[in-house]
Amino acid sequence: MRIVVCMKQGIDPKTVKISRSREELDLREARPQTQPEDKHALEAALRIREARGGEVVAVVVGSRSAEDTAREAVAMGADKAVWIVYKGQRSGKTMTALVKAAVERLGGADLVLAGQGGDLDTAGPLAGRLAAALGWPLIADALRFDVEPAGLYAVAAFEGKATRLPVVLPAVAEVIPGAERPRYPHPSRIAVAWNDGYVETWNAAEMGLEEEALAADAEMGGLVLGAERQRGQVIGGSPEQAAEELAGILRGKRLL
Amino acid sequence: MDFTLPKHLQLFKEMLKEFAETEVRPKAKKMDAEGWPDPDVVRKLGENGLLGIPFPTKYGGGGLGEMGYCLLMETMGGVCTSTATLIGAHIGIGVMALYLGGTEEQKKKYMPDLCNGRKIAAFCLTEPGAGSDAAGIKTRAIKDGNSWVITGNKIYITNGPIADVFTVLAVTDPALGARGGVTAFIVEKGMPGVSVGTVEHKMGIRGSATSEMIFDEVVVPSANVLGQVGAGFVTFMATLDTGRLGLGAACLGGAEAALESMCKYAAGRQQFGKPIAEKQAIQWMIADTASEVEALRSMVYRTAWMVDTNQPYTKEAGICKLFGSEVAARAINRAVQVHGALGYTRDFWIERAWRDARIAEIFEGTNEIQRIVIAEQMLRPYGVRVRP
Amino acid sequence: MDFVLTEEQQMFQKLFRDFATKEVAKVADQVDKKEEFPAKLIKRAAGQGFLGAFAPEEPYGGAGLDFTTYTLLVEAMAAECASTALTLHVHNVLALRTLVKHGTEEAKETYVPDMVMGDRIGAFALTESGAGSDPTKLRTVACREGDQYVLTGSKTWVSNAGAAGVYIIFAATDPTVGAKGISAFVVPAEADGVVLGGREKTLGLRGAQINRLYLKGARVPASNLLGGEGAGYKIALETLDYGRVGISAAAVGVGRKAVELATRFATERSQFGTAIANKQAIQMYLADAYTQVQAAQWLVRHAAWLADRGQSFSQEAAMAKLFAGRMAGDVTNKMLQVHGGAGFIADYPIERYYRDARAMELVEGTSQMQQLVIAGGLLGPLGVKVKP
Ligand SMILES: Cc1cc2nc3c(=O)[nH]c(=O)nc-3n(C[C@H](O)[C@H](O)[C@H](O)COP(=O)(O)OP(=O)(O)OC[C@H]3O[C@@H](n4cnc5c(N)ncnc54)[C@H](O)[C@@H]3O)c2cc1C
Ligand SMILES: Cc1cc2nc3c(=O)[nH]c(=O)nc-3n(C[C@H](O)[C@H](O)[C@H](O)COP(=O)(O)OP(=O)(O)OC[C@H]3O[C@@H](n4cnc5c(N)ncnc54)[C@H](O)[C@@H]3O)c2cc1C
Repeated sequence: MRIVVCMKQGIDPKTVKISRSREELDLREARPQTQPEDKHALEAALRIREARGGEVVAVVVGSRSAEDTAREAVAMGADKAVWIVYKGQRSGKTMTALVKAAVERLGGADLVLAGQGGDLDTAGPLAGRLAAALGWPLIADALRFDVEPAGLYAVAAFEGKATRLPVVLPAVAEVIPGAERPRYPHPSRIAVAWNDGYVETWNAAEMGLEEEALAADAEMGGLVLGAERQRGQVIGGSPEQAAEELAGILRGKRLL
Repeated sequence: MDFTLPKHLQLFKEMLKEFAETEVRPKAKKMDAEGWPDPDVVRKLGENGLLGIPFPTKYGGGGLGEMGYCLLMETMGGVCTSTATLIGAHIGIGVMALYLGGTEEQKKKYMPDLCNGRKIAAFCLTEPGAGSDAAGIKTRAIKDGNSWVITGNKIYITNGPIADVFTVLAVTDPALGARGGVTAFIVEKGMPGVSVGTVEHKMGIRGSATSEMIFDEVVVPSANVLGQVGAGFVTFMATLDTGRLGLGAACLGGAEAALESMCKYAAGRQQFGKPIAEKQAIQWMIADTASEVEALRSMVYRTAWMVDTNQPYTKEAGICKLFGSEVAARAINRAVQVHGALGYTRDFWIERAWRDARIAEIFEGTNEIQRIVIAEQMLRPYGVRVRP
Repeated sequence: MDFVLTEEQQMFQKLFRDFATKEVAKVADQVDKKEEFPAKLIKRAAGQGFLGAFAPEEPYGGAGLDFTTYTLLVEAMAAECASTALTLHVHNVLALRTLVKHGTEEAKETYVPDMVMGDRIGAFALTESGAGSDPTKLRTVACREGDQYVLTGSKTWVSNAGAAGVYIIFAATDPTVGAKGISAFVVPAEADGVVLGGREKTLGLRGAQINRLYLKGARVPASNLLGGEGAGYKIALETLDYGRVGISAAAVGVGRKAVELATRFATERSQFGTAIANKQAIQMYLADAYTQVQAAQWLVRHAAWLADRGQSFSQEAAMAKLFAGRMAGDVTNKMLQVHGGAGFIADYPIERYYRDARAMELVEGTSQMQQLVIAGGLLGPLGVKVKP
């Protein structure tokens, strides 16, 4: 069984500032990161592989630093990754064409997983378009997969309820964050992920795609800024941890 | 010269940060209050491959070298010194002695379980009469056919109560003394005669367990002689070299955390109608700490690079431990001062960190012993024999 | 010039030290470990007259000590148990002396005899969450209603609070004029609206019950006002001059005993075939530490001597506190180091001294506040206004 996971490199939203005076995003300190949603998709794929064997291939589209996402996927446990070097705008149409071509070049797949679009994603939801392009069924909002002797089941959020349904392969699924936290990259995989042999570098031309097929079908129209909010602080962590931190902050401000 | 971390270690650093914040920090206060390590933390460290970081993957290790190990210790040192100590005693000295001194079979036999945390290691050197003077140990191993019989008491053993595998230093030939007459053994928890003695109540690093270990006529097969008979002292001293570097890295993490807390608190705390951060008294404390932290980071990373590139590093490791422990102590002491009375309450982690920091000037060779080691290296070319 | 204590002072010193070594020493460890206010011990101290240091013999049955003699009391107590020293100090200087000096006859008659007998322990509530180093920003208010004052607000870091029978409380009678609007009151613990808040869990001084205190419309008769409306800030500053010298004396006691402990340890502990006391590293630590203790002691004696002669001693008090506060931290730190691993183990007393000493740079004005006072004294005459 081959599972392809579409992974994208985005920007850590915490490192993006908004310049209100110039009405633009200030990306000077922006740091790239693997889209957290895609890590959930990879986690789901790794669990299926652990239960029934097979191969997990991460497909990453992007320029320069996107290679790091491909390597990270390997460090998390993907058997290999394909890095499609693409410098143009990654619209929904572009992504669909590239991933479809990649699946074909890999010699097909049984299951293609994609995470839901991230905060700063310009491509829009990929899974639906991909399913249509491949002519495969789509499982939307999948929370997790169960591998059973009778076959593969998806647990998906359907009208607010977790619903279990059998998966008819080949299929495309859109994974949303469920109960399973993506695993940490494993040190022994981190150690080898940058070695040769784990990441293949492809480009559109090699896959026989013309510029026409990749042309963006959506453009960045502009930036709409929401109402300005008072400065706040998000306190993370477990309840006790958050309480300790909050107590510390309040005591620091001498409100407590 | 290149001062950037390679890509894979950058990813490792990010992983460590997330792991430490999610899995360790929420437990740190509890471990301190209860005076015991949290089994969940230990299990997760093992499952995520963090208990074998520097060792080659062929022994089940992480294959990330000393640099990876230092990043691990730096991260943990900034979040929970007790956990850093647990890891240090396990990887830095416990398993390290096996790795540096063990035979191929011994490494194959013991290291995989130790690297994935199914087993925990402890390093048994110190005795009631032998602290700084490691060569003064009295624990005796007597040959009996194809095995050895070990008898003696070790004290202040980190991980003692939770460990499964002990590397134990014992006298095998009193006539030969430290060089040749002292041998290291691999002792397992289940062997008859091995027991945990007094568990110590400590001022700090209370979330790491420290105890006496009693070896009462423990029979170990000759196959458990670590490396060769008579090589134990050299192996243990070489082990302490890397242990010291790891400790320096943990101190770096502690000092960084103290520095960050000073800046954050001083910017928010108002007295006399202004943030105290606007006062030079506070600014100086921050500037001094930042300078020391920078120096420490450079020397720790450089020494790790020396280890990974097979250069001698005894002096440098001693310097990292000496300077690091003092920098960390000064940093957290200043952090307490910046926090005023708040720094004196147990409600807040600063107080715990202050207690925790103190041990680094004592264990893995006291700072006085480090000075002796460093002076020895410096003065040898001039024909001066430095003796402790 | 004469550096000798008077015969009477020497006699008192012996009395204090005897009591400390016989009575205080035996409970000190438990006071710390159980975080217990030593109520019985304090009662016995009262029997010796130690709770009436600044009350005249007539008519209150006090001891009527001069200030130098008083510093000997605190020093002796702190050498065995710094918590107990803090309790006696807060009671005697911050509460009793303030009341005796500034109280109305009525208030003195009501409270002083009980305080001397130890039936009412005194506490001093100046600090608030927003007003630490800068007490002029306090927000507790006192409103006159007929022949009573009604106090509303909250106080933090009130030493002895949990055990106290009487509080000296600072509150604004006129919040519009800052320092000039602050007044001091003596408030019995049983007054309606005096509510004890949570206890601080502290790094050291764990026997000295430190709590928060809430004033929810607490009523006291107008005769409980000390020194008139608006006199509070001056009273606080004057009291703190004495307070600082007292804390410095406590620091000297802690430092002196730490040196004693380490000196003994160094002669008893052998490594490398000889007592560690034979090593220069240890000798240097002891020499430095003893020098610092002595220097601090003479700063204390000098300030107390000036106080007894009725001369101004604010500068000297600040210098004593700055130096002695740091000395205590530094000396206990070095003396702990002399103990090696044992220094970190709670079975040995030195770690308690180290934790207790850390408060000396925070209480009764942080080191930074002392520096500002001292700098102000130097630069003021040259026209430079030193503002905090
Ligand atoms: C929490 C904790 C965990 C520990 N974990 C372990 C462990 O896992 N395994 C293990 O084997 N040990 C462990 N130790 C022991 C530790 O390594 C020793 O405490 C340390 O080496 C010092 O020995 P000591 O305590 O006997 O002090 P001593 O050697 O008695 O030293 C006392 C003082 O004398 C000084 N001194 C000694 N000799 C000289 C000299 N020649 N010149 C100048 N000064 C000198 C020392 O620096 C120190 O200040 C641990 C200790 C503690 C407290
Ligand atoms: C054990 C203990 C017992 C105590 N007992 C009592 C008691 O019985 N009664 C009572 O009223 N209070 C008591 N206190 C409170 C004590 O007096 C205050 O903690 C102290 O005044 C410092 O205030 P803070 O903690 O709010 O620190 P802050 O004033 O917030 O100071 C934080 C830091 O900023 C520095 N700082 C502040 N302003 C300046 C400036 N202008 N220039 C340079 N540096 C500055 C300080 O030195 C400190 O390092 C006690 C405190 C402790 C720890």
